[in-house]
Amino acid sequence: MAEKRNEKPVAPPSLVGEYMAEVQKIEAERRAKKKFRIVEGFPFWPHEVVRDAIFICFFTAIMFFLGGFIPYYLEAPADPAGQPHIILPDWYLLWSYGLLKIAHPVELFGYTLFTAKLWGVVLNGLVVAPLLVIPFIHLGHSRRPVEDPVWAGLGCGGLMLAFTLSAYSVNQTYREHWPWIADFIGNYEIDAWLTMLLPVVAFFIAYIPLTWRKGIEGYENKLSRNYFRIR
Amino acid sequence: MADAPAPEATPKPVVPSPAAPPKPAAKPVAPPPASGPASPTKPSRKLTMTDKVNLQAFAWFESRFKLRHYAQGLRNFFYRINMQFPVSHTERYKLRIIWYWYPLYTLGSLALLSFVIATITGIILGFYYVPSTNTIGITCHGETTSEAWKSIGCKIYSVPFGFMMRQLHFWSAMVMVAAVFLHMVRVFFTQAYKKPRELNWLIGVGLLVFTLGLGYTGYLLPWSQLSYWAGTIGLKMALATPPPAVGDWVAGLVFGGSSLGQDTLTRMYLLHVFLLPIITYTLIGLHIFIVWIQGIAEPH
Ligand code: HEM
Repeated sequence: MAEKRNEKPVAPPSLVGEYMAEVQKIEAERRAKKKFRIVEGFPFWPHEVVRDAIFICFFTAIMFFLGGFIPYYLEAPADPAGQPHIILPDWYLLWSYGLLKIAHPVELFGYTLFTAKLWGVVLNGLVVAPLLVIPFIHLGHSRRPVEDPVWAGLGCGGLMLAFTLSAYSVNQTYREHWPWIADFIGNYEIDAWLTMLLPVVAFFIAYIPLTWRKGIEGYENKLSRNYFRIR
Repeated sequence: MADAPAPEATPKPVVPSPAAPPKPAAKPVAPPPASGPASPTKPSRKLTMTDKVNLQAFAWFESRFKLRHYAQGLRNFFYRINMQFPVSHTERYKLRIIWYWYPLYTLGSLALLSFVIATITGIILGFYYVPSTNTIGITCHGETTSEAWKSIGCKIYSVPFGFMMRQLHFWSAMVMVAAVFLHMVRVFFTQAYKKPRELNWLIGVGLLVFTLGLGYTGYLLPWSQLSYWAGTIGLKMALATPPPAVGDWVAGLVFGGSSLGQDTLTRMYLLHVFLLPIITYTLIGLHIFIVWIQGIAEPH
């Protein structure tokens, strides 16, 4: 028994075994032919970890600094009878609250498909769902924004949407605090339009210059060549 | 074991080390002699008393814990880190352009750091917090309050460093949410979710949702005005989930019924201090393990 255990186990032929053998054969052939191949990653250890360690030290200090110098006070105790003038979730959920607020009832031929409340909830799902499919619909080898201006533009549009939705959720507050904004923008209706239009503007602000840069430099084939090498 | 992949199939290290590294010493496990128990070899010199005691002690541990395996593992680990350390990525690939986004690659670790700080301070806060909406005979600063509010508003501020613990917990939570979001943005713009990292992106989306969930459930715990009315929004959203039967069920499951009360707080407490942290830590472990085996996506 003891000798058996130290021997390399010989896997009986199986589909998996054959597959592994085939993959190895193909890789070996590629390497022999010196075909270029994309380098897929640099190591987490130590390259990334060393860099991270430096930042971690710094940010530990930053967190003590924030904690020590910017107090976070407790609100008054809960009072189910006294709804405050303004109700808000924490800042990172404002986008979701903005969606609830911006949702109108959806009607088709006089028939209500979604009530405003339901549409708000559905919109929340519709905003998060695309995140799940991104890796499966965006194919190709580009890695930098300039190599794929469309997706860079979509990203900027998405960021802008998160921002405008958050802003929309607190529009009552900022209009009360800074009346000049209310004078400048006009009525609340325009807030809603801006919330939906600014992301489109952000898309083009990113898309146009990046396309221009890409046209000048032809990134995919020229600058990236150093990364295609044999391993 | 019929489907076990052949042992040769282990992947090559992501970046081969430039100079041929010194091979780590061969496996220490010598095959035992063919027959009979191993016969003790003669020591090379006469053993003193100290030697004997030391050897006995060592043998005692060694026979129980197989220390040499771990020693060998440590040695291999040491070789491995020494082999790769000096080569920078830029040198290795003779880069002609400078990728000035590298500082943003630390955001993932920042998220982990703030989560660890939040966990440590959260455990300490947990020693004092009482998840109860009971208000009978409970006062704090002369006001009638709930027990939950009192435990944060009065009790924690009266223990040494209690204020600082709460401050750190709050700020690390803020930093964590911001870091996770920005980390996702950096992964998106460097398009690091492409093959072979699709699965890690999906795990990441899960992590984002759980991070927001941790923030939301924590927001409700002090049972203050903000907590209560933020809870109301959440409850309304849960109730609005189509179809109504499912909405009621979700509200009952997460908020403990169709109105806010003790059940809500109990559930938020359990989610915040037990369920969500455990799920999040597990996913983070998986996430970083996958980054470890795949390497960081190459910027071109
Ligand atoms: C608690 C939350 C999270 C933690 C602790 C975490 C941690 C990390 C760490 C340490 C890395 C190594 C590289 C780096 O730091 O940039 C990484 C990479 C990665 N993360 Fe996260 N992450 C989190 C959330 C997310 C989210 C929300 C997403 C996206 C939806 C995501 C997607 C990815 C992907 C795709 C990689 C591989 C990137 C590459 O190879 O360049 N992670 N994560």
